[in-house]
Amino acid sequence: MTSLESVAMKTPITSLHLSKLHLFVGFGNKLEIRCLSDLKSIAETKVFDFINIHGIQSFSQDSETTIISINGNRFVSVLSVTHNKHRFELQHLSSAFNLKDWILRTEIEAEKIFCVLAHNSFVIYDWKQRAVISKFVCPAKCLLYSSLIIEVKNLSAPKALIAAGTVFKEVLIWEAAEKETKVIQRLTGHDGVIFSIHYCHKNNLLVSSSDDRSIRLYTYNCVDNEVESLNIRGKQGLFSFLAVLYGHESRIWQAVVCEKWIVSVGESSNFCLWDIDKLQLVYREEKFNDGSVWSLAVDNDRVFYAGSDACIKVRSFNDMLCPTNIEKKCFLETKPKSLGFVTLNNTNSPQLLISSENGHAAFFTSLNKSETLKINLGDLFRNYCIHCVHPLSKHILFANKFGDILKIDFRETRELFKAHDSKIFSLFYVSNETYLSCSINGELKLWTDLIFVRKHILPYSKYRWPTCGVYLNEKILIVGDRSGSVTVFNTHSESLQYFQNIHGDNGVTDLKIKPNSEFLYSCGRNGKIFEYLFHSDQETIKLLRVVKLGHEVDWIAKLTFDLNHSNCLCVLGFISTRFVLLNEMEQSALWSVECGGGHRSWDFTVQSNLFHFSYVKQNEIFWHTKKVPTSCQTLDFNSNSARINSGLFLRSKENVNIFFFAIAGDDNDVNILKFDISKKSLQKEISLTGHISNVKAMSSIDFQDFTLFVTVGGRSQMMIWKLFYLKGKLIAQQLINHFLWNIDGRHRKPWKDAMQVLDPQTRYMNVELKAVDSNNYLISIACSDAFFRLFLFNIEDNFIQLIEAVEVGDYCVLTLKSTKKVFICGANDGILRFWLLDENNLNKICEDSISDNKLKSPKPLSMINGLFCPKKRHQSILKHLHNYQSHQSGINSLDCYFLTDELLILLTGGDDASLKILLIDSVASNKILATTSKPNAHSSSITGVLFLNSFLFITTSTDQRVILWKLVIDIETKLVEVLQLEMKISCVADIAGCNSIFISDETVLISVFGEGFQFYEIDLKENKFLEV
Amino acid sequence: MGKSAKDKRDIYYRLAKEEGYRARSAYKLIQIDSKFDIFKGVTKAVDLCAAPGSWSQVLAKKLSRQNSDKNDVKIVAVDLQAMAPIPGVIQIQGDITNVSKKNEENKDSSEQTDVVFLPTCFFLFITVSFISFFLLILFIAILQVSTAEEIISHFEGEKADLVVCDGAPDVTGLHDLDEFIQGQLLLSALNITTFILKTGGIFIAKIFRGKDVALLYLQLKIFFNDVLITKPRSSRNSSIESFIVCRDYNPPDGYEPMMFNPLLEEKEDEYFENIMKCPNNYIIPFIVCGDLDGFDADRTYPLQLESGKDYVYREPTQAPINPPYQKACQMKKSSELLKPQLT
Repeated sequence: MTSLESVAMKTPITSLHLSKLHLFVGFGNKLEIRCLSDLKSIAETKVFDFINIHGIQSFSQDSETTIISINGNRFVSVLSVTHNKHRFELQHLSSAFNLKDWILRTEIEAEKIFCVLAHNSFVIYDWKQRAVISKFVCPAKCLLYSSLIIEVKNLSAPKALIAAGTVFKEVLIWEAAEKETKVIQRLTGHDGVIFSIHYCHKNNLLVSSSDDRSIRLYTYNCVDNEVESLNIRGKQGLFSFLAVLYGHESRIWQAVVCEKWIVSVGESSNFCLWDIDKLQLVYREEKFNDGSVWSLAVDNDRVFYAGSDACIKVRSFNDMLCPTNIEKKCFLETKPKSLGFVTLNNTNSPQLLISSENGHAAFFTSLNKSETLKINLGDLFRNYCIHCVHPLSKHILFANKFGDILKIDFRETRELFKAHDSKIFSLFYVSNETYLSCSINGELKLWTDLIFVRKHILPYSKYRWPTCGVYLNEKILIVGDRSGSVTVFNTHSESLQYFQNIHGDNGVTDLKIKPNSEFLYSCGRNGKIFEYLFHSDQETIKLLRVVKLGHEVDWIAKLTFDLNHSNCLCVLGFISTRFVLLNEMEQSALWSVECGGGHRSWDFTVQSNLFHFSYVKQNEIFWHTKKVPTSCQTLDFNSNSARINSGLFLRSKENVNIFFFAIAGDDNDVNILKFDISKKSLQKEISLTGHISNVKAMSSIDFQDFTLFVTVGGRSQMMIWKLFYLKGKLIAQQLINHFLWNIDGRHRKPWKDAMQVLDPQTRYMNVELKAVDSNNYLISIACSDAFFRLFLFNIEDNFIQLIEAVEVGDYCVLTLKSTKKVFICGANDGILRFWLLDENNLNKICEDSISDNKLKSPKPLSMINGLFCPKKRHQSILKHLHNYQSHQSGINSLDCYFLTDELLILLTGGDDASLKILLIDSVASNKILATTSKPNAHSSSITGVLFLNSFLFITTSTDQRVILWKLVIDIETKLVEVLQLEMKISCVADIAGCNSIFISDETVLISVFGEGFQFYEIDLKENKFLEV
Repeated sequence: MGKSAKDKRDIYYRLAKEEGYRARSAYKLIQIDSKFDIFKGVTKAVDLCAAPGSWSQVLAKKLSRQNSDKNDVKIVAVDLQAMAPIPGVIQIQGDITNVSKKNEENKDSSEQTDVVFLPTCFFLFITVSFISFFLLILFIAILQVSTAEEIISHFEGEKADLVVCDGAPDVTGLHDLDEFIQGQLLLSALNITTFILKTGGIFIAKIFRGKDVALLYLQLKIFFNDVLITKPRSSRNSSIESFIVCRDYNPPDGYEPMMFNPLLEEKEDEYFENIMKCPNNYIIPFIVCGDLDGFDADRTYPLQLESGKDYVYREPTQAPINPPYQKACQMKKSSELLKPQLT
């Protein structure tokens, strides 16, 4: 066993392949095998030592055994899989063989592997002999981005037909043969690099996809007696241009043609399905995250695709091709006012209730048939009438402008009573048996059946009526109103909590409890969903955070959890004039209907695997139905879809085997994953949203019952979170969302414009969090505008203030580390700067600010504009000590360790690939006692340095190496020496750094992150580590 | 974000516009020169992969300044893309027909090809300049001895003192692939350079400092006595790009210039055999260039750099010419992109 052992990883999925029984997944240097029947993972194996997989092909040797060739970079490797009822066996047949040029495409047939290489050549490699047996070089010498082996025949004197996609707009069709290797046809038309070529023998169609965002379609036509022609499966012919398809808005990495369809994926995660006969875009998945899709596999009824977010999406053709059924009805005599679905107990399909201006209500099972029931509500209900349906469809309530409520059940029993003295604005159920009505001046009344329960008054606002509500445990009532506020009432009728205007001026639209949980969600026409926590024994709710949903949805109308019995949150909303149904977990649209927008009466329901959506458009009623997608699946969780800039281990309080790992990066998301060390399994625990630009760094402090967590990034944004555990689940509460500029835009505060113009787009590069006392925390931030800023956060008052901003030099500050009293900054000019913290002064500031904090505490989840914070009234709390030129350019990584109480070792890794070790006297004046330098520690920028203990440390670099070093220090002579103990080539490209956590006294878990992440385990007990 | 956002975030982008350079990459060459004095004694220079021409602009400026007789200075810029003329720079456009006459076997097919005015995207890129990658690849693919001869003919039979190449691929995001392509681009430029560079001459090219940067270093060491990697301060810290400075061209004894080079392959085998051993088997000299008093590419600057000098927004010196995505973008604007029939 090596001492740096890889224990888990999640990297972009770069290859997918389907055989008869299995789905093969290539990510990093690993191959995962899944059974096609249930898509469960059966095996995982490491294929290469130091390269990533780029292609997988298989060959069925017999009904049970499949031989698999795997290629990556210049190498090809061979495995076999034997699978029958009794056993599954995976065997490594041939280790990596170097073909000396990048392998673009392979096919395997028994012991022969056919490969097209990047410099436009074709080789036949025999994996049993481990030798290249033939090589053909195309006379058109150029570099390829894609290729395809159309056919290989006559294995004794091989002849192959190759399609090669060049970087200069062409697809070359060339023949490799002993006799003559020549280009036969050139397919032109693309305006850029050809990224993929695919051919279907069933319909003789060839497709190519390109940088120019188009797909070109060529058909193979038979020709006679042409001198220069191709030969595919014995038929002479040539390709001729058929069509070009424009529909993608970014580069198209892959297009696959099958009998009837073309499936294409690319740089944006929306994949497209095209109809070959009609040459139409049939379906495009609407997704709200922007990762590249690198790999695609298609069989008869399903599409599998995967990419940078490291999970596999499964979509079935049936689901995608399922049409929407539309019924409509025009009402001529009277105008339909409102509608709603009603599902009676004994039926599976909903009926549509339409109430009209003339005070009539009618029920339809279909708009093509006449109504099943028609009720005259009476003259009182003319012109104005609102209704609500009992949650179990026992009866329907109607309310009018005179304050009357009419209850009608389906035996047409009527009960009319006076609920209010004037117009009823709102009427809806807040629990299974209790409903709420509201009249003028915010007069709310709760009713159970016809019995009055209690009364509340809504706080004063412009539009003073509720739009939604929840009655929790028959105790507290939570309502959302048209003025955008959420109010909590208890039994004693007073308003306990008031979240004023949190959903903006257009109102709250829905409140829902997640089934069997303690989470409440609210949504509104500001396009946001908020999560709250409630305790069944308490009368208050806690506002937690914003739930992630694509920012395109500007109007969120309704939340639902019962779409597919998975308890997964689904959202109904409007994107301009479209109604959309969105899945929160997948961040994708399940259904979209062009309806003209949300300003109309509409309703949605799911019944017996059908989506129903109905809406009014002037005098017409539309009723759309579509089958619920059945086999829409995601295998494994979706990780960050772009580079991870920061990774941080958090300790779980409940289980020694569980560790939380927070990752954040260029896709603006912070994901917290749960790693079970005993099972080596990873799961996504929570996804924190709110950053409007990339996240650069994170820091945390663990306490007994919670973790304080800070994330910083682009556009000078800082967010502070409180993480805590409830019944084994991690819960996140957003405390602060702070900017150094006015995010509302300049129009809000025109008198402050003068300062706005000077505002640079400062990025926060690094952050450190430390406790001053139990309430106050010091947040130090390295900023790209060459400043080093200190913020003071008071957790009790939830108040943040900028207390210090020091100009560090002329260069962007990259890294930051603090000891108890000293701050150390590393900047892009290679200079380390040391600052001493004046603790007395800091304590004074903490004390001073206690009195006036509370007044200034921001509203929950609000964005704080920190640019105009009050001028500091105190003395500087930082004293500059000294500088030290550590590197030629950027100090990209920094770590320190107290060797003794007096002796601090500082480690810096630079963009100049060198490593510096500094010995510092941490008592007297923080003088540098000795320095040692290790130039060329890596062959590229060192992005991570990390102490494991007093003599072992790790470095990571963009050269993709992870190195374990040993430090030998002679305290007397101050001589420092470093020895390289172990080196690993990680599967993570563009490594941004590393982080560690002790999983036992002697074992450390190390994470390396960049394009994905990888975990290593080190046992510190091993002999070779022991101190010399 | 306003249009000045890029000016706030990228000082060199802004400076390039203000000083009339076609791309911010001009500062990279200026800074390489300030450290290594690469223009010393240079009268004949070649800019491979020249478009949009910022490096040629620097060459023209510097060489004419240091040589009193302007007629001695010859700068040849090679690219397939027609580029706006630069005073004092001879432009060679890669000539396809010329090659096809030489390669009889490609005759038929090349007539169908219209790559002479190959559209390419040129930007004032903020991170990596992906300048005219397609061109260089194509150009290298078809560039034969004849083009090398044409370059030399402009030097009246003499060879170049300096060859520079700032070409980079349009990166895909698959880092290993991008690094491989960039490496191939560099080696192709090296192969051409072996035809046109005089012994003792200098070669400078863009390199990605990624996983296999040591391999390229080893390969260039075969041909040059002095090889090092440099990163100008005008190149961002977060960018993987650096520049390889190869001085004192000294090919192995008896080496004949050729387009495909077995010496390079030998190094590659050696590298992959030893890859799992220590990476610092290879000591790659790395030197940062650019004045510490200058601007920092990673720093965000306020728009008003000096007091009393107001910020004025300037349009980019040269807008992208016919990028590959032009048609798709136009179609998107005019809502001609196909829309899904089923939702």
